[in-house]
Amino acid sequence: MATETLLSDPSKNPESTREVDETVLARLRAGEIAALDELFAVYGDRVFGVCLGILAHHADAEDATQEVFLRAFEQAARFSARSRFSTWLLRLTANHTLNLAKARGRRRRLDEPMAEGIASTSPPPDRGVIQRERRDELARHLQKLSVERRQVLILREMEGLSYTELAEVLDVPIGTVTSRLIRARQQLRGLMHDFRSDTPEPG
Amino acid sequence: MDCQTTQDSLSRYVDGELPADLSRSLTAHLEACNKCGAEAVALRSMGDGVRELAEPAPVSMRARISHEARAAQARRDRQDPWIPRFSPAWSRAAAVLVGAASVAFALSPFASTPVPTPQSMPAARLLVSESQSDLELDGSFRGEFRFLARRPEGRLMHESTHDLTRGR
Repeated sequence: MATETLLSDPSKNPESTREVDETVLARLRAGEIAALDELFAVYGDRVFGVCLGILAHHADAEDATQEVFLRAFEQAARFSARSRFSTWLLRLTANHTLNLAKARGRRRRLDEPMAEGIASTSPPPDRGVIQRERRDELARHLQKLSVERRQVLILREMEGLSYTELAEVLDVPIGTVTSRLIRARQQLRGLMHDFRSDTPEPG
Repeated sequence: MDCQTTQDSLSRYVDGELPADLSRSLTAHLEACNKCGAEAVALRSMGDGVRELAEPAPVSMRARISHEARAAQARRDRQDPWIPRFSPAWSRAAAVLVGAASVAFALSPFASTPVPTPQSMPAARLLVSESQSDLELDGSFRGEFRFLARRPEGRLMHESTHDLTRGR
């Protein structure tokens, strides 16, 4: 067993820890469109990635991302410097996508349009067929999780948030974050054949 | 550490959320137990898979968001400062007026305010009419008019407070 790989923390993308500075936030609060543009340059990919992971539909993810940034623009004055701006923005993202996913769940049958959304336009062509199939399968199975489990898993894996940060973003106790993550992983693991351990049980 | 304890803690372990001493014990177990070790690798692999689902935002989005924000600002600027008007786009968005209009009779600030001026009642009636409210106003109305409009998903589209005690 390669212990070093078990011990190493999942490497965070440096982009995922980047924050805008206070001057941009001040300009945002003053209603300056250029500041919104800078905000998108810093957080656009992150918010879109989370929206796409949760909604699994490109057009919906684009609409949701746009809505999150417009809300951030309108509500910038409500941001208090007690938390990181990215945490606040991800909270807007989590709330909006939760509402969207629940509303959609009431309207549509779960499954078909959503997983197609990721599979249809991606992945990049240099990825192999097996990797592509595995990715599509994961996207499809991820949609079988409740939106609450999906959210916490995506925010943890894509954004690398700590449990404390996840609790703040999702507005739930840390114990809920912990249990949702355990169940999300168990469920996804049960659904994904690729991630099963091939090692026979001892004894 | 046994397998059961390890399995229960594995999710927190891969997230680096276990206390250091517990994490060390678990690492020792993972080195010795193939089954639990493979489980940890599988969880990590699943995390990698989820991260790979992320894609960069389409480049066109940046300009579109700025455009929408600019358009929203322009709409706000065009609006009468106190009577809210909704663009057709907002109407198409199936805007619902939640509690279409609520009248707040402020207590202390208006304790000694004059009765509405002749201009205030038509203004108030227009406001009620525009908001499609079923409120009825009579000559005794005075105070503040709070106007709230929400989109179906709950986003506050418009909020304004109109003081009708000063002729508006």
